[in-house]
This record gives sequence, C-alpha cells and structure tokens, in this order.
Amino acid sequence: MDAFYSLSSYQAANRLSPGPDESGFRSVWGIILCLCSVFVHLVLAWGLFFIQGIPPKRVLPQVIQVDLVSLALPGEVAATPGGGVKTAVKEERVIPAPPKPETVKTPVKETVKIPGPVHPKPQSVVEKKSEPAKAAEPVTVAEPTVKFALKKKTFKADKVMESARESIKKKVETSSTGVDTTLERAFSRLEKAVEAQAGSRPVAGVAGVSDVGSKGDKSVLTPIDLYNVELMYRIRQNWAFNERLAKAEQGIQARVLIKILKNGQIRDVWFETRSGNRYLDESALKAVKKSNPLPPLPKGYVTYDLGLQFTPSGLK
Amino acid sequence: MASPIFYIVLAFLMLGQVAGSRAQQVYINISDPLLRKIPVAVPLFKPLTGGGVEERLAGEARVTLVDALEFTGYITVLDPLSYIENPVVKGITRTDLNFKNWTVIGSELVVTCGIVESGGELELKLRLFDPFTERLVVGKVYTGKVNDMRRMIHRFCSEISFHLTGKWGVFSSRLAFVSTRGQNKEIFVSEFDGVNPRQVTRLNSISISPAWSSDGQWLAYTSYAGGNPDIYIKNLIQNRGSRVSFKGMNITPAWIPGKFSLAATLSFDDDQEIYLLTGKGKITKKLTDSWGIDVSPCFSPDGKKMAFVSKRSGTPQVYIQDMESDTVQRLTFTGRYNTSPAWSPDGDKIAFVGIANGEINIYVVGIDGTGQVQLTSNTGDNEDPCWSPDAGLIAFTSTREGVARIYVMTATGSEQRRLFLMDGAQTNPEWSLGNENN
Repeated sequence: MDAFYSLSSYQAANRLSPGPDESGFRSVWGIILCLCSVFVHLVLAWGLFFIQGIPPKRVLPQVIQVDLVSLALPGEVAATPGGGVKTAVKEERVIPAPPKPETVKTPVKETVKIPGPVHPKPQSVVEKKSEPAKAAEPVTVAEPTVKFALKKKTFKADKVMESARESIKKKVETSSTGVDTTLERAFSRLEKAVEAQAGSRPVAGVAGVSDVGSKGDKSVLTPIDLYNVELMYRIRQNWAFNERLAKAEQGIQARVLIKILKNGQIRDVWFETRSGNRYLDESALKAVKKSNPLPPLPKGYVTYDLGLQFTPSGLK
Repeated sequence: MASPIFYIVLAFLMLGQVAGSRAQQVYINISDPLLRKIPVAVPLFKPLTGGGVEERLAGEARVTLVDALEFTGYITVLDPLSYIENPVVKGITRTDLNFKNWTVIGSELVVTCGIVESGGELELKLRLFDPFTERLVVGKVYTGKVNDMRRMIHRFCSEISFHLTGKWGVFSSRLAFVSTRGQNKEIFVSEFDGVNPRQVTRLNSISISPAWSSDGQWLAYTSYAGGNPDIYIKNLIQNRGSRVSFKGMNITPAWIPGKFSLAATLSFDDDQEIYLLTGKGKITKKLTDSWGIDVSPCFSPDGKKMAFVSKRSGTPQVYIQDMESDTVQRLTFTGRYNTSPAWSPDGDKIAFVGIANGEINIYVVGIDGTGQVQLTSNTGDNEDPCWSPDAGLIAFTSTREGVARIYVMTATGSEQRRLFLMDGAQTNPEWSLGNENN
C-alpha cells in the first residue's frame, strides 16, 4: 500500500526531490540526459568557435620560412648599408652558380655587416633549392669566402661549393665555443626587451574578464611575450618610413588591428584609428602586409588579436 | 540541490572566460621604422627589338636611373639578385607582372623599362607600379636621340619624385659652381649631379658667387676681370648680358624670385650696402642703410623677405628684412660669425655658415630663429650651403678631403657624400630652380 502511494505520487513528487529507489533511478536518468544535452551544446559551441580557426584557402608564392635567432638588436643594424651591399653584389655576379650560403647572405640588404642574416625574406633561396636544415643553424654564415672566377673555363661549381662547405664547417667548429656565449647574450637581450615590453604594455580584455596569469607579473615571461617581441621586430624591419615624405608634425600615430591565425598567417588587417596622414597610414599597412606570414603562434593560442601602434619618432 | 540549469549557466560562464582569455587584446608600440628609405625595385631593362646596342643602352639607362633615385636620399633600390621574376623575360606591362612576387621581397614601388633603338634614335617606355595596389602609377614614352638618354631617365625620375613628394625634385636642375683653373677661378655649369660640366666664364681671372635667375636663363656672378669686383649678368643661351661696375665693390648678387631684378652689395657710397637692381644693372632702390657692412642677400621663395649678413651689431650675423615694411630682425644669436644664408625653397628654414670652436660648419634654423641644428662637424671647413629645389638636399663646399670639393647631403644632414671629382678645387655650388620641361 505504501509503495503504491509512493508510486502514484511519483510524478508530482519527483520535480522537487528525487524519490527513493525507482523514482531515484528515473531522476538520475533525467540528470544524465540533461548533462548529455549540455555536453552536446558545449561541443557545438566549441566547434563553432574553432571553425573560425580554419584558415581560408589562399594562394601564396612558394616561400620557405627561414627562422633565425636574431644575434643583434635592430638598433645595431648598419644605417647605410648601400655601399657595403653594392660591392658584395659585384663580386657575386662573377659566379654563375654561387654556393648556397652566399645566397642566404646577398639578397639580405641591411644585415651584410652583421654576422648573421635575420630576415625571413631571402627569396632567391627558393630558386636555388636550399635545404632548410642548414639555414636553420643558429650560427649563421659570417663572411663566406668568395671565389673569383678568373677564367670561366677553369671554374668548377662543385669544387667551389665543396670548399665553401668545408670552410663553413671549420668556422662552425672554431667558433663553437663562441656560439653559446653569443646565443646567451642574445637571449638575455631578448629577455630584457621582453620584460620591457611586458611591463609597459596596456592590456585590453575583449570579454572584460581579466586573465590573471599573464598580466603584471614581470618576472615570468610567457611565450606570448616572446612572440610579441619577435613580432614587433619583424614588423619594424618591414616598415619603411621617411620623415621627409610624411611632411607631418610630431606625435601622429596610426593604430592597426590584426588577427593572427595559428600558423602565423595574418587573417585580417584593419585600422582602429587612422593618423590622418595618408603616407603614414599607407606605410603602416604595407609594413603589416610585408610581414605576412608571421611565425606560428605559441602553444595554446588558436588565434591572436593584436593592436599595432605606429608612432614614428624623428618627425620635425 | 540546485537546479541543473544553474550548472549549465555556470558552465557557459566558464566557457566564456576561457574563450575570452584566449582572444585577449594587446597593443604593441612600434616607434622606429628600420627602413628609412622607400624600397624600390628596378629590374633589368628590356631591349624590345634586340641587338647589342639596345642591351648596352639598357644597362646604362638602368644605372642612370638607379643612381638618380638613390641621389634623392629617400629611396633605396633593392638588390636585383633578390628579385623573383624577370620582366626582361616575362614582360614589362602591368598584365605581365605578378605583383605578389614584388611585395614579398619588400619593394613598395617597381620600375620597368623597355628600350627601342634604331639608327641613333632612342625610345624609352618607362612604367612605375605600386605592387600593393597593383596599379600602374605613371607610364611614359620618351623619344629622342641616344644622347638624350640621361635627360629622358631624369624626366622619369621627376615623375617618380612627383608621385612620392608632390614636387619635381632636383633632376631637371643645373648646377653652377666655381672651379680653380691654375691661378684663376672660373664658373662652370653641369647637370644636377655634376656630370658633363661646361665652362661658362673665360675671363682668366677670379670669378665667383654664381646666382641663377628663376627661369634658369640668366647667371649673375662677381668677377675681378676688370681689376675691380664687378657683377656680370649673363644670358647663358644668347650669350649676352650686362655689367654692374660701380666704383668700389660690386659683389654677392641674388635674384628676386620670379622677377628680372636682383639685389647686390655695392660700396660706391663708401659703405657696403645692399641695393635693388634691374636685370640690366640699373639701381632702383637702396635696401639697407646701416653703419656696418651688409652683404650676401638671399630671398624667401615668395620674394617678400630678404635674409642677409650684417655687421651692424659688431660681428657678422644673419638678419631678415621685410621687403615691404623694411623692418629688420636678427636671426642668429649664437656664435660670433654667422654668414652665407640660404633660404629653403619651402620657405620655412634658412641654412647658414657658422664658426664655433675653430670649426666652420653648416647650420639650419627656422625662420623664426628656433630649432637651430648643426649639420656638419669634425669634417674640415664646410661652407656655401645651397638648397635643392624640393628643399630635400643641401649642396655645400667641404675641405674634409684636403682640397675643396662639392658635397651633398639631405636636409637633415645625413648621407654626406662628394658629388664629383674634377681638376682643381670646386666651391660655391648653386642649383638652378629647374622645371619639368627641362
């Protein structure tokens, strides 16, 4: 009798509290269904979110990305590379098939005087069928010996490449003790730069929710901080701006927002604020376009929304 | 036990939090461009009908173009070894180029050229592209003799300059300067970069301080050929002119912009004062009246103001006089010796020579006296500053190599380099205003 009553009042009682035994079993089943539904909704929401992460199909020229550790800050780049490059070019023209290390060096304009090209844009590397493994050495070629062909008939490309490879091997071996110190110096410089960047950057959260881990803690450098620094250097290298052509006063500033995808591809570029100076705005846009594609995002980032503030100093 | 809805809402809040942290916005400040000049790609020029002459001319024309572009000081030409495609093979028109190949090497402008030569007649088809907008910015065809090649290339450079700066640049200017010839000094005129100098005076004496009229047809200069410093006003094309030879000194001529009249210092009245003269040398007005010497007049681009050097306060200093009200204001206050004013064609700055710490150097100051900058230092004696017509470059005399030579630098003092080499010593450079019709 009691059981009958408890059963008949099952429907009414169950909403408030799960009944014992059988009614308990059914309420558990309800909760499981509920949780399943929540789970499916979550999956759907995440799926929608990640679909944005699939990059659209774009036709890009064949580019081999050469990632090198920068061994010198941009400030140390020679200001007038024109003379140095010209003489180097003249020497190279004599050789019909220059050895590969030189192809890494000669198209790079500003870094001829530095032992280590930094640019990811030596495009003639593509034509010469380079091996990325060799180019990815942290110690890059300082000044490979240039072979002059006095008579074209006696020039043998294989022998030249062979001797160039050997001389590079020797250089790597002799300077292997020096490698670590230069790398360490480079890393310490990078760290200082990143700390300066992390300490001084203003952070604007999109959803209004602050992320505790990555703000304000200057002693801990996150991978995204390092990425920011590398990105800043990259865009600076590609930013061509001449004060004379700007004809502007001090303090003008252009703000560009970009969306970077996981593989470093810049998906969107748009102006947050134009400076009003057409030359500066165009130069900022070109700098971003030339920097495409950037290095891949650090782990854990699917996309990265970023603001770039172009403020040329040195205006009259 | 709370309703499951509570847990669902909580779950979505957390989802939002995680998503938000993944898409957090950061601003990076980029304040110093590494490229201070516009990178321009100039691929090899294409001979259009073939033939050895065309190939040779193609090489020479390209060198002329690259040198002229780099002369501006705000363009850097990218190394052709880094170019991906070759318009000589692919073609030189907009439809032939794949602009992605040019943006990816970093160039912001591309210049192509096709050459046709037959029997001494030359045709150049030049095109300037913007690879980011994939547009043809300016395309020109020039025809003439093979000897006109440099002029054709320089005219196209004027087009490029106009596209980038809104001004035609220095390419159609001529350069007047003084060079020693044994014991004598004679005046020469060459192209803007010192190429093809031509001797203008043959007075076998000391001839100095050349000054161009606005239309570039007349040259005024001082010469001691008559025993006395006289001013010669010469028409370069018709080889005729006048002579200002009053008693005493007749020196430092300067033309009034847009007019056939000039100012000069005459001392027939026992004191060196600046007078206004017609183009034929007749005195029309006395401009200065002070007990110190007044020399070296130089006019603002609109002709309404005159800068000059006066010793009225005891030491030579630069002053500015308003041509209508005759009010005079002193411009330079630092140092005991400031001379040789040169008014920028933009109208806002004056370059001058100052002596300080035993060095003779070139300075630039705003016309209100503020923002004085020293452009040369530790490099011998630097004098005779003169502006390019687009106010971007300053030519000057320097003895940093021992012998006086003509140098050029940008208006901010960078990229100082010697213009050319010639027998003797060269001083006193003056660029004519030039015009795109050359």
